[in-house]
Amino acid sequence: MRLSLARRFHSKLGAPAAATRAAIASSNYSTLPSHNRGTTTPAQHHSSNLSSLLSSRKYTTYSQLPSEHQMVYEMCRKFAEEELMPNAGKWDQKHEFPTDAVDKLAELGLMGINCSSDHNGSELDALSYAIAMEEISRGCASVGVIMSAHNSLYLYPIDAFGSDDLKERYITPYTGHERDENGRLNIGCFGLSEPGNGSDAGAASTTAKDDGDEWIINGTKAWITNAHEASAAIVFATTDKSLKHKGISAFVVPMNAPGFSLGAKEDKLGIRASSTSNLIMENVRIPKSNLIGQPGEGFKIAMQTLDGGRIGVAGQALGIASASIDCAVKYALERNAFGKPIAQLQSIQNKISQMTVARDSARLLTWRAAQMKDNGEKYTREAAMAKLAASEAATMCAHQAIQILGGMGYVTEMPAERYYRDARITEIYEGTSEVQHLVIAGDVLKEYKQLY
Amino acid sequence: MRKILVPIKRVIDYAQKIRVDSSKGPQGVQLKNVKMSMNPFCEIAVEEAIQLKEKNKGAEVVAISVGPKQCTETIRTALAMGADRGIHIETKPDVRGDYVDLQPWAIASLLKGVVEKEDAVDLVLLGKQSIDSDCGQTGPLLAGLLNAPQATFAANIERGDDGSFTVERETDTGTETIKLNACGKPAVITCDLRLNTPRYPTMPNIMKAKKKPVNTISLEDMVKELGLDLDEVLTPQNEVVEVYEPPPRKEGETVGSIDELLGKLKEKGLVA
Repeated sequence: MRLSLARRFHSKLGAPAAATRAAIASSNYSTLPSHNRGTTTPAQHHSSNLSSLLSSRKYTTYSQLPSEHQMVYEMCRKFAEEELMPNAGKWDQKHEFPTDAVDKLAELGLMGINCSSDHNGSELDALSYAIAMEEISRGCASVGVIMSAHNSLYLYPIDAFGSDDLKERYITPYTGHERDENGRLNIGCFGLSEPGNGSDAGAASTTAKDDGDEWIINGTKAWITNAHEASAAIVFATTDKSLKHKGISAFVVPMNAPGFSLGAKEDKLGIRASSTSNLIMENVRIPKSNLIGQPGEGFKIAMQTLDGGRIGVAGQALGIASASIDCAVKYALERNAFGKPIAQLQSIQNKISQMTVARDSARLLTWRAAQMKDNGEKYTREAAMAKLAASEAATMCAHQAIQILGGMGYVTEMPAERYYRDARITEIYEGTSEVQHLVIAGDVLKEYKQLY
Repeated sequence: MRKILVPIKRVIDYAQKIRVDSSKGPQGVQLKNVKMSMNPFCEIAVEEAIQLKEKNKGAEVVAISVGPKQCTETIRTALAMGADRGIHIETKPDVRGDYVDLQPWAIASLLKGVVEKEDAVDLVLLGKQSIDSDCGQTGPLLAGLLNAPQATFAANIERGDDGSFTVERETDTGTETIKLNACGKPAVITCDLRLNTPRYPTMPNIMKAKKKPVNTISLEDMVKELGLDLDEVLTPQNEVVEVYEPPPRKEGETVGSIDELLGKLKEKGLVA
């Protein structure tokens, strides 16, 4: 811990003290492009051998990626360009859930992307997920959110905390290769937010009462993505109010249970092809075995789930940013004003540069968080930074894309206005930007406090 | 069905704008930082091979490519689509810098050797032509060297229970259906655009592709093994005389009336 902190001070202050300089020289750190923060002791790093050096190597550009990540990138990009981009505008205008496209996504293995092959998942890592999310969302941000809610928010908590029985019942049929009795894909959703609490996740008022063999769930969840297409929901409910947020537990609730109903579909500004509504539970009974993990573990499960979800949302925001940049630059190269393409004008070039720097830096933060997750390191701060940076990059890039397109940016003939509307939600869901600031600052302060 | 051999070529991606690079000589094309992918007609060939494999259990699809070390990635894409294993004949960077260096005759000679070495090859599926050299020669040359039955520009392929192939061929005047009888030699078929739509490699298949074997062998070693002469292989049979961009489109003429239009067309000899 002390060595890695010394490293950070080295880069911040420029001139490390003699002791830390010696410590740095004696370790293998100088050969690593970036270091592990705070999770390993100097002794562990000093004895690291070649294979662990290689395993903690960080990829920062597409050309450095190993071949299967490149294939994931190629495949998702091609799919997005051929199947999603041509239809995204239509789905947005009609508020139409893109059933066929999501079915194809499932066939490609993208609706169970991190799950083990024991459950028919694709067994890919977090970096592949981030890359896939960016390319799919570049085609259609709604398909991106459908994919990310299903993968990060529904499948992950069961996979990470659920019993084998729960996994058999609620992961295997949900990794995209099975269909229900109506021939439809099995999709899941995540119920944490309520009409009375969003950022204040610890104040859940949905209750789960122990009734011998069953739990009885009562309450309403709000803003739930995939609500109208899903057949199973992760629901967070209070099992012991006196313990406050330590009294919240997580459950899998089959949505066809008696007493379970849906609210009306929300009419949203963006991501309109995905459905959002309330989940209403009135004395819904679920078997005892549908508890995920231990009673009282719910808050921890939610927070850990959201950490991974933030990488997915960062990927989605990067996709929207990339789509905006593509749209703006192509237009700038063709549109003439003052006798030449506007791409030659300095104010347009400034915008293009700002957009690209914002998107690329957010992508580096996202890849860093994903790779830390894959390496088994704690990545809460990095995931929050990635989501914060990427969502702000998306809104900025979409905003400037409209600006570069001028009047054309304001009409539905060009996709810039859709990117602007789709980008906006990325700063809100899975933790508002304000909450991300708190997570990051809290972690930084904790680190400094431990020093002094 | 036993083995299906699918030769694939790594070319400049079809969506890229080609730029002439005269600094590389009269036939130079800019290759730096240019995206490369599998030739689209080769992709169609791979897809057809996999569809045939799915209909005939026990068939093995072998993808083979000749080129620099990045060709392994192209082979991996074929594996991710469903091919079973790959063979990479690796060339040094200065050979096969672009399509000019290793030409259809050399490739066909190498492929003939591989077909004979592999034994039990029932079918060789190739793209009808590559989008860089557009020669369209490798398939027919290979069939000639093997003394094998061939069908080019296939738009539909059906395999009979007796091992024959009935192929619908695209011609300038329509579709021709021919039958390649089973004769102890592999059928050689080149694939055209309408044959199929290549599938996206699925995520699980991308993961599986990592574990499938790719045998890499240098060009020199392969030539030696097949008993060919390296000089003969590397000497181009075709000479590219010149590569130039097409002339920019000329402005059209506006005419005032139908009569004037007819007059102009007659003038140009386009209408009698």
